[in-house]
Amino acid sequence: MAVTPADFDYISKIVREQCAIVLEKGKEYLVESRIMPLVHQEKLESIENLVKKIKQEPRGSLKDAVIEAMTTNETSFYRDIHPFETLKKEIFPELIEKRKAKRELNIWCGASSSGQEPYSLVMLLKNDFPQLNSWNLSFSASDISNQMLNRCKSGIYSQLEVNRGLPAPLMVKYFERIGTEWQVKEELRKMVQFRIINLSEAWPTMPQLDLVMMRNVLIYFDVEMKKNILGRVRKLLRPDGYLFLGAAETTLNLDENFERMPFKQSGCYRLKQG
Amino acid sequence: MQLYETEICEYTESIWKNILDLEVKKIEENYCPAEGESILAGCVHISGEWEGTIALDCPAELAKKITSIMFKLTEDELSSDLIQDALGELTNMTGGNIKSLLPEPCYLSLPAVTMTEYGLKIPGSELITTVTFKCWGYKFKVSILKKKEPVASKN
Amino acid sequence: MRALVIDDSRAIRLILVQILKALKFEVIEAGHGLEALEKLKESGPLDLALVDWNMPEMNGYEFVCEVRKDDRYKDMKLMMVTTETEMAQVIKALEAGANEYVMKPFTKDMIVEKLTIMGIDVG
Ligand SMILES: C[S@@+](CC[C@H](N)C(=O)[O-])C[C@H]1O[C@@H](n2cnc3c(N)ncnc32)[C@H](O)[C@@H]1O
Repeated sequence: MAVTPADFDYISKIVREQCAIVLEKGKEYLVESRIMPLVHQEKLESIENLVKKIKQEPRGSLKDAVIEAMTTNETSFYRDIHPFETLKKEIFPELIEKRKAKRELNIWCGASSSGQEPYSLVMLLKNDFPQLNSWNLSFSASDISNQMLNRCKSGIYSQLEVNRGLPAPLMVKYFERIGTEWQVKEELRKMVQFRIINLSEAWPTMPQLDLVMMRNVLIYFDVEMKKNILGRVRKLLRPDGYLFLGAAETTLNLDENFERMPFKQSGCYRLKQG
Repeated sequence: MQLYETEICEYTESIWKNILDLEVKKIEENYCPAEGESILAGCVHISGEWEGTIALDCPAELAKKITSIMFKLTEDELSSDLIQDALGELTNMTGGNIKSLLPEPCYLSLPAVTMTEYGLKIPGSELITTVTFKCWGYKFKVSILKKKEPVASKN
Repeated sequence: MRALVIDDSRAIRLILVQILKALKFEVIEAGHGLEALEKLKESGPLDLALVDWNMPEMNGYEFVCEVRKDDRYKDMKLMMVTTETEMAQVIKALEAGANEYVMKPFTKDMIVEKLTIMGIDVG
């Protein structure tokens, strides 16, 4: 069922206001395919009726449901693999060496979706850097979506999800089977603090960070919001800390204080030195 | 709710979606083949801590369509051994996944596929779960049959 | 690169062969473990084998054990692609020397991602 230009404008407006995601003209198909299931679920018959209902109850839960439906949660364990190889071979060994006096490491995943990214990191730390067990590790992971937050906390994945990108030796080491699904073991789940952070609004206070993962989320924002977020990341990052962006993202032409590291297809950046 | 009904739905939907790119949906009515309709029945046996059979009954017409998807052939290029192969593999995937929910250890047999007119009958087994699905205009069903315990003799 | 696809289902072999050919593999097929060992003798060591578990004559687990006994094949990557999905089975296969494990049903993306994490460059 087609969305009228007026309803499309209204939906893109609330999506932009709530989470900064930009829906340009031409994305009507996306709105239709993502919103129609919600229309059916709410027994509303058309997108037009749904828009009417949101306008009548601007504080209702329907607005959140639209935001949930319009965000892309696509993710997988060790997505794109190269960034994680770089973390294993270059970044963590360097950071561990530099921080060995204070034995402290602060990490933030800024768009964790259903949790595969933070858990990929936690498994890597546990498996390859066991010396960190006695360190003071602060690891937080956040997303705008409540639904995603609950999935992160549960650490439960379907067979299809654990089939994607998760090395089998790590699966048998760090997962348990429950019914048809697979759950990350509790010792790993409790290493991460999951919370809601809307990147387009004010962020809670965070410690100075050694590593920021901000992958495959900037891509949805307009230039101003991208600059704004990179600017705030810059202030949170320690001078020798690292930022990872998604494969289709860059700081180029957005924030000249970052420089790209020459690691293979890793999207790894740090602040310009000196 | 029958035993493992939700899990059967989950696995069946996932197998048909990922291997065939077909959406299948559970329906409430039971699949009872019409008189004279030819049916293909795929089954795998499970032995070990749990003994029984997982069966997939499907109209021959639907089996042909599935086979043509899996082999990327038109329906008149198909031979009966290709159809048996395709249905056998779907049964194997269904049975293997259901096996993982049963008490360990259990062992899976190779799949067997037969043409019948009434659906598969397995003597000495009782039907514990059967779920009917719809795909295009066709119905098919997945069943779990448990081997009956030998009746303990009196005295 | 050269790969062996071992599965008793022709349908599954066809799907896997097409995935690998699209990644520029040269592919050999076998319907069970014994046939696979025969073909391996003719071809010499390959880069990769995708191995089903339940098959007639010789199952995939036994095939992995056989291959891992022979030093000539030590660099060959072995990936189970099977409907055996119990944790105990995954562990058993890894302990026997399999490098990776995919649980059926699978998609093309899953196979490609698993090849990548085994260090096979799929371009
Ligand atoms: C495509 S996923 C990326 C997941 C993961 N980082 C990865 O690369 O695989 C994008 C995530 O960004 C979240 N997101 C979208 N807008 C956001 C915002 N304004 N603040 C925080 N998270 C947001 C979505 O909910 C979604 O889970």
